[in-house]
Amino acid sequence: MRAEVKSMGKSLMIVDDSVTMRRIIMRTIRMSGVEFEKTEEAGNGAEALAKLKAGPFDVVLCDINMPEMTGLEMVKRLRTEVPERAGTKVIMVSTESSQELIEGVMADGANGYITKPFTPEAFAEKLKPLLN
Amino acid sequence: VNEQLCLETSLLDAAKEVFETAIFMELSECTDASQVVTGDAFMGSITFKGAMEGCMTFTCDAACARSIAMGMLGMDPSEEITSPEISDATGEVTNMLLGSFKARVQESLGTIEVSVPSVVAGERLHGRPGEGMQESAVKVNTVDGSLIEIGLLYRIKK
Repeated sequence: MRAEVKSMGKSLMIVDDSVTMRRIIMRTIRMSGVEFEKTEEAGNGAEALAKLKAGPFDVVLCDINMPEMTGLEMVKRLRTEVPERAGTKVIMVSTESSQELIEGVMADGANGYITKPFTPEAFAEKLKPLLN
Repeated sequence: VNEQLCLETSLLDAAKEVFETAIFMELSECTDASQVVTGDAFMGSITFKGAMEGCMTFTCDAACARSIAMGMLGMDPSEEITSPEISDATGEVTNMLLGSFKARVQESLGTIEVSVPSVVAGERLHGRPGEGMQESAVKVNTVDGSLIEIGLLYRIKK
């Protein structure tokens, strides 16, 4: 049985161009035993960046391959253009799994990486340390 | 022949991983070559380039696509699902399939970059290899016997 982690007052944004994937991520997080107080969604990097400029989020789960603005560009611009959100943890969630790409996006300011297809355990492993 | 066998094994393993982890559905390999997807169907496709270039396709009939989408979305069989929702889910399955396949072959082949998936609905949907391309495919059955065809049209850069 998984230990539940309730994140008191913590907020999450899921960024993916697929509505289905956003729902799968939400369901998998619930299965992982992690709970957020507030959850929002965005369909691409530009929409996510606009929401981050408008208000804080503790954790952002972000796809890479998205139309309009990719997750890679979103992370870069978040770290350079929105210094007041330096505390926001960004975890990339993608089918891209090359070591080179992971190292690149971590160097650009991401805080973690989860590859698709994922398990509830993968989310628990990445999210729980961020919420404690 | 060895290369094809290796790719087919990777396709099959990728399909099993994606279906078990994201859709909570078990698959078994279909060895009956005469089985084909017929009638109204959905086909997800996604292109890739790099050490290997080409296109992966994922095809199943409309009822199977509906069942997969409902499984992914955690919906009850009594709930209504729209065609755009089925298309979106089919695209995500295709995307995850290529991601899982890529993770299995990339170490030996080299870096592969992927595009975003696209989905079409209709009848007699098949990918066709371009000049100099090879074709590899596997067929799998879901627990209820529905057929899924996963195809790979590719060219490996030497």
